[in-house]
Amino acid sequence: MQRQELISQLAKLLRIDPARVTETARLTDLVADSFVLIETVVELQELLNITLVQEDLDGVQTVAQLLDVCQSKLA
Amino acid sequence: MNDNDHWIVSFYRHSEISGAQFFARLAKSLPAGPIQYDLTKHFADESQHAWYWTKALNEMGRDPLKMTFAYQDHYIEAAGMPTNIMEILCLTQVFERRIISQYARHARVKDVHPAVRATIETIMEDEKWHIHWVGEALKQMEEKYGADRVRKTYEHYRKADEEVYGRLIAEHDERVGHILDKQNYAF
Repeated sequence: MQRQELISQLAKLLRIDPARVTETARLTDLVADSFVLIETVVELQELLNITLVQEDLDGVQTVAQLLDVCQSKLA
Repeated sequence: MNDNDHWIVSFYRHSEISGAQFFARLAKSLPAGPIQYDLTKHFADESQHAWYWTKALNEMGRDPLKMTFAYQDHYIEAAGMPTNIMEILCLTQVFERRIISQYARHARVKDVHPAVRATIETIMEDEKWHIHWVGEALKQMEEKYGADRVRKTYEHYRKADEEVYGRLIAEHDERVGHILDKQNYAF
């Protein structure tokens, strides 16, 4: 899946305007609370058919970092 | 009912609502299957518990206090964000055990209001089932994640829970201290 398509899917899962989902956007700025972020990460795994564990997301703060982790699992 | 119990029961209510909201989101997003099925029942139970506490407060002539935080909110701060359903269920299992322990202690306090005791007794039946279904689901997840990872994840959240509970008790000792003091128990 291409990067732009991933961003588009992430925006859909977050139910926000895709324009807000930039590579440098901080994930915590895109969600109302951390529970939404948990739900989104679970849904993202279902969508991409990948499995993430907590260590995978250690230090992940931005959209770009999250997408990097997802793409490394897809590779 | 004194002001401390008013605060505690409002806190229970708020935490049940937070739990219901979280499980509601998961129930919507998880794929169909046994976990989605049980988790949807779990969500319904948490909602019902919030209603029981609201009703109990009403019976005691009090309105729910507006709370700024739920117990669960502190887990993520202490243990990091769970990223998959196995990690979510480990966190849930730790939380459910904490809830059972807290409710059991509260029900033993000598002068606990009958409405509080009755509510706890009702909720406890559901909580036992929560522990059971989550435990069974985690056993099944050992195949995908490995028994060692499941065990370590559970332990990770258990330690976080001890930290969170210890902090909460220290911060609100004047409100909850009497529940932890065995000298106040009726049995």
